[in-house]
Amino acid sequence: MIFRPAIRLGLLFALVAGASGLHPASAAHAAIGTPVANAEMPLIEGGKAYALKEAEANVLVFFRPKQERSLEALRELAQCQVGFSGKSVHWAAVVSASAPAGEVTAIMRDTGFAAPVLVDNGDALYSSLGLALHPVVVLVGKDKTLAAFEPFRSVEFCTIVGARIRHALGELSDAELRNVLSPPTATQGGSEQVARRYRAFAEALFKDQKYDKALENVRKSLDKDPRLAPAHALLGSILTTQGNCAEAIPAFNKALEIDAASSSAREGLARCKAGH
Amino acid sequence: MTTVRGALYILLVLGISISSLAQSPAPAAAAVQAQAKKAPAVAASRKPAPGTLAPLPAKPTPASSHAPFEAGDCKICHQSADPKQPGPVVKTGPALCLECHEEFAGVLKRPHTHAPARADCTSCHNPHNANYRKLQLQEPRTMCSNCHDKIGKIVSKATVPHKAVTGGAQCTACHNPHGSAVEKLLVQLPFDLCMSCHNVDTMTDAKGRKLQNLKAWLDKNKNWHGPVAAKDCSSCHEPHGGDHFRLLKADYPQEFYAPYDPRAYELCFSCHQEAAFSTAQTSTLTSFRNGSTNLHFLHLQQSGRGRTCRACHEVHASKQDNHIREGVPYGSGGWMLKLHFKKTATGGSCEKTCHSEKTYVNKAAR
Repeated sequence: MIFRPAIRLGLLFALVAGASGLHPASAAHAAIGTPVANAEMPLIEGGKAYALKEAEANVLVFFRPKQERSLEALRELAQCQVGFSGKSVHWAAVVSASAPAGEVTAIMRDTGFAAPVLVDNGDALYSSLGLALHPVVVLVGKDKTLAAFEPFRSVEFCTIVGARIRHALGELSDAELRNVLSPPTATQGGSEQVARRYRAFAEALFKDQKYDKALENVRKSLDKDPRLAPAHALLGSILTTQGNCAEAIPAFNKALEIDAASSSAREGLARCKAGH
Repeated sequence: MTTVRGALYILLVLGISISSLAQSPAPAAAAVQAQAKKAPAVAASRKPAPGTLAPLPAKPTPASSHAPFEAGDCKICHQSADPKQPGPVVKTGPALCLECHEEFAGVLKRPHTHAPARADCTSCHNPHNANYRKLQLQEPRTMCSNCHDKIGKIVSKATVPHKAVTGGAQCTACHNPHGSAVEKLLVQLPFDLCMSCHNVDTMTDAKGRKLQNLKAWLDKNKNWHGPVAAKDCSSCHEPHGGDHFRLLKADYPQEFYAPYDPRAYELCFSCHQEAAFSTAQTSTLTSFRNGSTNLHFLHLQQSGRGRTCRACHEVHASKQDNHIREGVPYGSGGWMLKLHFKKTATGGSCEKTCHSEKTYVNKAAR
């Protein structure tokens, strides 16, 4: 009985997958770095294939037909695959032997996800990796160990799976991967931006020779952001035009203190000192 | 005069190119201007109606006003300084606005941008003044629903509303209507967004019932459920509003005991295999088994008194593996029934809980 194929396969997977000393099912999945056995498995259309190929990244996609999330995941991954065409990435889909072949074939066709479909007899591979849900992408590195585990998510699935693969290919650094997994907050506005707007408004007024209004708005800009060098330089320019170099010079100096490369401040300062 | 000005505003809305003063646009503005030309045109039916962008009367006082308009400086945007006949704008599309609102050049280069923002800022903003904050033509929920009508219907028909959507900043509480690094124009990944509000002890739902301080819970309980670890709260929760308890997307049993019915676990089975709970004998579908006797099956499918998931599992996070909870509220007196779960080298045990100590073995001892 112990030599029935499914149990034998499961033992083979468990033998290697349990090498870390932790039972894979005791966590949400086997620990990252767990060796993944490369067994020969039946294909849905007949014949056999090994689960893993000699590639920089093996991407195993465990799914269930007739599951809404699997449908969404495979559709997204079909688009994702395009970006890895020609690269050392092997994609394979994995289904339980209990899944009706017709339904499996249909979902693969409908989603356009291009990969051989491996039949996981007795859910041996699924179990050996400690999986407890579908759909999930399991990434195996070129050293045949578990590199990443990504269940489907409704936002940024392809972006994150793609980043994991690129990281495995050496195309993405650790820091870049972290940036993808935790993208920056999409903020806008804030005091600094308001300051820039007032400065831009003041500049437009200055060009239109409305000096008092320009002065009023450039001071509003500096209230919001006292470190905005262009605003200090503009203040100096407005004051110079009004014939007030006494106050313009400190403004130019402040601009240069913040930004030594400010050409408008340097030129304005030179004009004032030359008595213009 | 009014007719002429009205006609000019119609021309502005339709985006007809009018010869403008020769000004070299700033490089960023030029790039965005080029992008706006390539962006799909906002459907004519979804553009502001003619006259919508005209200045509102001074009384009642508009909620927001554009600084150049308020200062009477029409020439900042128009060809003429005459407020009665300012003439056409000096540039079309976002390029004009970017002359001052320069930060949006960067925003509109983010990976995900909003088509109306790429096409024309006046899709959503009145450039003079408005009855809503930030010069918006309407309140966000109404304005967004003009295009996103399906979401609008979900929000308005939800029997369990989400206060983040129905009040305050509404859609813009979670979405950046200009551009974002995250899909669906989310300001952050779902989890980070949700935690920015669900991090207090005082939050209540729409019916006034207290909600858990989820951030505090997750800080204390490090074994996170998959969707939580994946930062995908929307795997289980409908963020716009829904018809299930706690904005869940599908059914999840609220009771401690319930006869087994897979329909009651629709939410869980959207990810987990139903077979893992309905197969009496298995050595692969679950690790909660004694040999090949499936203990999930045993617990869930007891005749007349099946335990539901919440009897043993935390849905968000726990201190113990497999999201086993330390205790479960039992009865109306607030007593906590401790689970006393212990993991062992070969499986685990539960004692002095619903039953006396029982041990299970799911692998051979080494």
